[in-house]
Amino acid sequence: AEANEQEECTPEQIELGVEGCDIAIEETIIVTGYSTQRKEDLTGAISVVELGDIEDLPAGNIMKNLQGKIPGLSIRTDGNPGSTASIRIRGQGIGRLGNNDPLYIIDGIPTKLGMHELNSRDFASIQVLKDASAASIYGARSGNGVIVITTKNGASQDIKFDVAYSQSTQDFSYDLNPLNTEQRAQVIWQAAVNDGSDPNAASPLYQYDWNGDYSSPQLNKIILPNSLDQEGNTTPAVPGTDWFGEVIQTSKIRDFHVSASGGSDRGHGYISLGYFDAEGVVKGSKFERISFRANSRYEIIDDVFAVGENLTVTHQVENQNNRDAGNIVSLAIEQQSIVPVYNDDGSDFGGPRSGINDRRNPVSLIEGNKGNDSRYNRLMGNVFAELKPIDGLTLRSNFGLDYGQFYYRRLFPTVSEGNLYNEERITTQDNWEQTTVWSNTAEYKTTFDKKHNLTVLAGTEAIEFEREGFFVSSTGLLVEDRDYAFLDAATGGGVVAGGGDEWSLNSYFAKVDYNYDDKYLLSGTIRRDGSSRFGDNNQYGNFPAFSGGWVVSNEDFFDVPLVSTLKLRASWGRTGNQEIDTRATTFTYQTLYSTPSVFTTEQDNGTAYDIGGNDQGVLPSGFVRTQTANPDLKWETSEMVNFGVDFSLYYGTIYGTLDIFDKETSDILTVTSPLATLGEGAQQIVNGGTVTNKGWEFTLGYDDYVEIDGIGEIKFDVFANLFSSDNEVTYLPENVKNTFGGNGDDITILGHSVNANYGYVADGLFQSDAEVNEHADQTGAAPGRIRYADLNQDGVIDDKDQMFFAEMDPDYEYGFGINLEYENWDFSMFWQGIEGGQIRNGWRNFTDLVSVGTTSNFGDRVLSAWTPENSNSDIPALSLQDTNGEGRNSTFYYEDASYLKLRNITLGYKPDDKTVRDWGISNIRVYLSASNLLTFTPDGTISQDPETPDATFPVPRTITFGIDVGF
Amino acid sequence: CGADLDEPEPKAVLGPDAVTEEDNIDRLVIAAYAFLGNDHYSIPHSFWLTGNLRAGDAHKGGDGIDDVQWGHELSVFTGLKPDLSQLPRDFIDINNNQWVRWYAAVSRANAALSAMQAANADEPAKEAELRFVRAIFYFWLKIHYKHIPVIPADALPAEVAQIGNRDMTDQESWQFIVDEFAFAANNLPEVQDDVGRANKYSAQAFQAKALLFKAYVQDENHQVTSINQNELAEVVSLTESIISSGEYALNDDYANNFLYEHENSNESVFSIQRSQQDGSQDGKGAFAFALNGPQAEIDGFYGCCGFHVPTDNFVNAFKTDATTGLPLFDSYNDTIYVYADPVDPRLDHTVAMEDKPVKYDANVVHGGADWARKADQYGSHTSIKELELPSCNCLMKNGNNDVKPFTLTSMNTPILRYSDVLLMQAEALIEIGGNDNLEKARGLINQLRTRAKNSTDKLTTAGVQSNYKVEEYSQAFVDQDEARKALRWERRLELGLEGHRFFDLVRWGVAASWLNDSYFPKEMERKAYLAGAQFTAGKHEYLPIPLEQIILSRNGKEYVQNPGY
Repeated sequence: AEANEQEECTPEQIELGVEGCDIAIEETIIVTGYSTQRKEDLTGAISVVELGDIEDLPAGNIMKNLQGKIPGLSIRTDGNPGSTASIRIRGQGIGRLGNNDPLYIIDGIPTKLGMHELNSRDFASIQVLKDASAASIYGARSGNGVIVITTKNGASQDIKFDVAYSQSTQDFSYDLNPLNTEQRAQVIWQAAVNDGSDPNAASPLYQYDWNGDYSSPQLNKIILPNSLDQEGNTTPAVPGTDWFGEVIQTSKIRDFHVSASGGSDRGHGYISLGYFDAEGVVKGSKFERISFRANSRYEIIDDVFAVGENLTVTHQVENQNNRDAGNIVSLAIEQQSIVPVYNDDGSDFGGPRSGINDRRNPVSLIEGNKGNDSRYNRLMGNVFAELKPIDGLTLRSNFGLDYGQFYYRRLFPTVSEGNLYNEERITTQDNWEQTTVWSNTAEYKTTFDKKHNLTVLAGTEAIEFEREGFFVSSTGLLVEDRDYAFLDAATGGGVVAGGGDEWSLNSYFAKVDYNYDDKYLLSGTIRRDGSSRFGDNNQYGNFPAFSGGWVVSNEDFFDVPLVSTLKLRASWGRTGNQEIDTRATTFTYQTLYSTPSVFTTEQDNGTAYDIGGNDQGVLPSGFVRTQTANPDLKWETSEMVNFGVDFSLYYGTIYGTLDIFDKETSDILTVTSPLATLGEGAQQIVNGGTVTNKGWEFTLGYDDYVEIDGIGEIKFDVFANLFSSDNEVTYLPENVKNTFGGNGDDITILGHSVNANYGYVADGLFQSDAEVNEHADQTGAAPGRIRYADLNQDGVIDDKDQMFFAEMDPDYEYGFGINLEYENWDFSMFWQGIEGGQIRNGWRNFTDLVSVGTTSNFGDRVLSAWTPENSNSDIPALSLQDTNGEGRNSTFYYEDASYLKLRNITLGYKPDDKTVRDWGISNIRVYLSASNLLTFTPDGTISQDPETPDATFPVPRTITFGIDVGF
Repeated sequence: CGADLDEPEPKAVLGPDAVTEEDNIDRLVIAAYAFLGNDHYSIPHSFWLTGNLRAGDAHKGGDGIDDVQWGHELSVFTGLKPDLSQLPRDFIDINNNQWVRWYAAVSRANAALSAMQAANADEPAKEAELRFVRAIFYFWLKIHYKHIPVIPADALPAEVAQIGNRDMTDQESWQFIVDEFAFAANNLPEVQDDVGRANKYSAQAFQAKALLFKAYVQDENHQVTSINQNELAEVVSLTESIISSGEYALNDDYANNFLYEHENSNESVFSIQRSQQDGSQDGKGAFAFALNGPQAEIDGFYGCCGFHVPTDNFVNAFKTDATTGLPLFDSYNDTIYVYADPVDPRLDHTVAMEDKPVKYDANVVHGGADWARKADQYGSHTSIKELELPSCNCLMKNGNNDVKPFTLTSMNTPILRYSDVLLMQAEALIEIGGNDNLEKARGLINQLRTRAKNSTDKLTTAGVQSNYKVEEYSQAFVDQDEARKALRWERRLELGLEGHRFFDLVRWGVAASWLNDSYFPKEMERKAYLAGAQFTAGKHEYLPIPLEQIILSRNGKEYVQNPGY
């Protein structure tokens, strides 16, 4: 934040991320991939992240903090302290094979890994390359957009130290309001009475004293059991366990960062240490990261030959509870309140018994995860040499390594809670992966006739990736102690698994930029990528792009005093996506000894069989085909057209950008659902499917100051952005078409968003027998039950009465905020929201329905369920049997996804320079910041937070106090 | 440029060449067998879902209708439809999964047969094993779906897509299956070193079974129109070959068929081999029955999930006449069985009920409603042929297997017992008719009844308080009808809850009358969930061809849906 105090940074300093020159970047130089460009010269759609806006936020995952900041960048997060965020740039493809993530380029090293593994306080600049003309220089991996990150370096000045510390508290409160024991008993009684069945046979937990009159039932008394198990060990919790209270906590985050930077005429460097320690609002969750960075550059021959390096090492620790949090939150409503946290004698956790569904005690789950921390170490660095043999020519060679190692030793303690019992188990896994990148570029910049500016860049790049890992699981621990629970201590048999992978990419690229008199801009890019992931018949692909710009405001004829700058841009380009299994093109066979076989969705596909009838020991096994070759396989291709306008008015105080884009992604990588008779491993990865994403982005800002008499000067910056994108599946091959829902005939996902859902339309509740009789024939129909619409009007409600509904994509995403500076004070506020779209509120199974899980607990909404007397209710009548099929996928579960959140509000204070200099400090700032303070949702929605409408890690409210000091 | 891409070899997988080496052929055979054991509670290879629930011998059990709702729909029929993907809590089409997995099993055998061809391996015994395993899956597909595609081993993908499910008539695909077992019988040794492998006699037994089904000729609407006498004669001679081989015998005690320490006994003609502590992820135990343990926890075992609950009708069928010791053919279902009633001891080997010791252990006593998941809905009986005691070495409770609370054992699953061979012969003899044949059939049935009578030691030692009474048919059957009635009753008792009954009913052409006229009316009064249950003749004899497969088949030859769906 010190750029203002320095003399103007050179483009080179900016490119290198010299400390203090980071702020100046958006004003002048943009790192665009293998080179830099002045912002005025840009012809593609590139957004620059204002790092200053988010530096007060805890630096767990920088992408979380960017939500709503960049139009076209859709970020979905949850409250997991160690989570990756889901990032989509300008919509998404089919994503059947699971990759719609952008490519990150960090100091020239490409990676698909998450940003939470890096310390964002070391970042000097972040550019988001949104359109194809900007991204296509990254070829076969650029189809989902590219985010280019440059890390900090020192200035050729005195040594400078910076220390930053912040501490946050997070909290969250749920109001699903699970029923207490008495309430639940009453609900079960009511449901049984509604069904006309005997309430005293409805649950082994409750006996009822009632008048036995189904036409005017009267409940006198509920008799609860004396104990939950036969041995009488456990007394029911009455009125009940508050499971949400047991699993949610107020949590702390500490974020510490210290860096030193500086240099001489010849060289400069930057080193830093970061420590980030966060708990989540779900008990037991934890994320801890220690990171080091050392960046340096040295001029061996001044202005002719330089070498340098960037290196970062991070170590991070994550608790199992981070992964289990969604389940834990879900268990907090599923587990009945009658179950006590601990048994009476304190020895064991309370758990389910007869009449209580067989779900874990969430507190036991949290406790059992204690110490189950996975460790991830990442080393990422590059070394480069730069030679400038003649004026204007730069030769650069860059070698990078990205190495990650994941190690996780996990103890599954013995679980003994109610009628659930699991033996203890120890698992250990160790995986490493590495990417090496070697790129060489030559860039020549020249100007002739003073008005013709030409830059030519050419280069090659070779990328190799390798991964290996193994997993061991064993049992028979004689002592259940984490410090003892190593594989050596396991006396039971073991399960081992392991695997590996490798791929490579070989690329050539060239770029030409031409600028005539700062009025006419032209740019062309070509990249040729060869990937080992693709079939012999399609090993290489070409990714061209063209763009042009016209700076109207630099024309002599342009004479509008109001308008300071006006630039029109247009671009077209082609990008690719190669994120598929390395082995996708080949027939593969595996020994596949066994696969998990516990749940309905996973059944053993192994080849081992006890042919000798020995019952134990290693079994004979064989091979199985797991995939069918596709030698024609190639990358998926996106073509994007972009038109843009950049403008500023009133000497630049009002600024804005408008972009309109049309992206068509074709040959989308997807997997076939083959006819069963084609047999095992018949599925092929194929290029099939076309999805379009069309939309627009708009930003507008007003950056100025006002003088107020008696108060002084107030600087302000008001800004807003708006983004809209429409997704549509326009083509799918026959053998893929019906795998997205539909009736297998004329109703398919074609013409709908890839995020559309197929199901029934819930049309309110039946109010009377007359309404039931008038309605189409619907099995299970009765007053108080959900009425499903007879879409095909054939008088019967059946599977033909389904349609695509609830496109999950929002209509608009937006953000707006204000920054104020007054004397030593600064203030900022940022709001973010989405408008339109729908979410599936899975909680409704518990909050609104009793029949779908009759042995779980319910939310208190069921207390106001439909009855003939309470016919205004939209909650179906209580019943113990889902005879009406209300668990089916229907609009009943969906609601408006719109929200507006006060994402952040910050107040900062900087003591007078003079005062602090007396303390030997160059600058100091303290601040208080709050995140997610307010959420507004439309009327009629039940979900508290549309961002996490289901059993996921809730997004907390965060209050942060921080201090930054520079020496 | 582009020629110099350094393409890495695929890692951690094999290419086709390595797999088709001759040394590896037996490994492919093992992989084919493995699918027999790769079953699952939603698709068990002992058909408690499709064979027992649909026959009125058992209720689904579990936690209400929507707990594996597929099983509920099988019990009441009315909800069965081509697309079952939307059943609550299943949210997958288990009917489709079943079809997919059985064709996956067929393809494993086909892959191995192709590999043998590629390697020019001349090993008829191996080929016979593969064709045997493949024919078992075809047999299962056949009795579930009737009209099925038959896929040659060497068919290319484009050719497979052109194979419809009506390319063969009903009788033609039966003939295909019979011929496959015949090939296996002619090329397999009489005894195999590995107890899990098919041999000559297991192939003959399945050949006889397929022939018996084939002999009852059905029309388009699944109604039996005639019975092929030549094929019945062939059934007699095939079963005679097995009987006279001397390789098989009835166990002295009926109990031994369902006890871990007696698995692969002389009575086992073919069993699925189960194992545990075997290095597999979840243990290769009997996942088919993972849900069928009692809900009560005993000695740290059981505790879930109370599925497969014998019906009152089924239990009542074991009642006998106090004097003759024969079934109460007409009055059996008038009253609910009480422990003082004279009863065939096979009841206590098959069903555990309140207060009776379970599985011959005086210390493990059935806890009635405590043992059930939803006693009010399904009753509290427990099917115990598939269960073992908490003290059994076969329990998967300290393996690597994080499968609790599911009840899993490594006890093998008999899918064809010698007593079935005797009953198949008796059935063929009776349908051929003639006094000599009826007499011979009576002898076979009486063998089973005598064995039943002698199978009370384990029960009484454990203190089961039942009034056992079972006797032979002491007089010649008066006519074919009486013999048929006796035979069909005997199959229900002897093979009770082993997954055969529904397919027997369909074979005999009596499924509709049995369910709609006998079973449902009475059992509906006892179990409210059956309200509205109805079997539609000409439709519900077979499952629908899964809609997803019909849709996918449209890229080639579109499958024809079964009538009524």
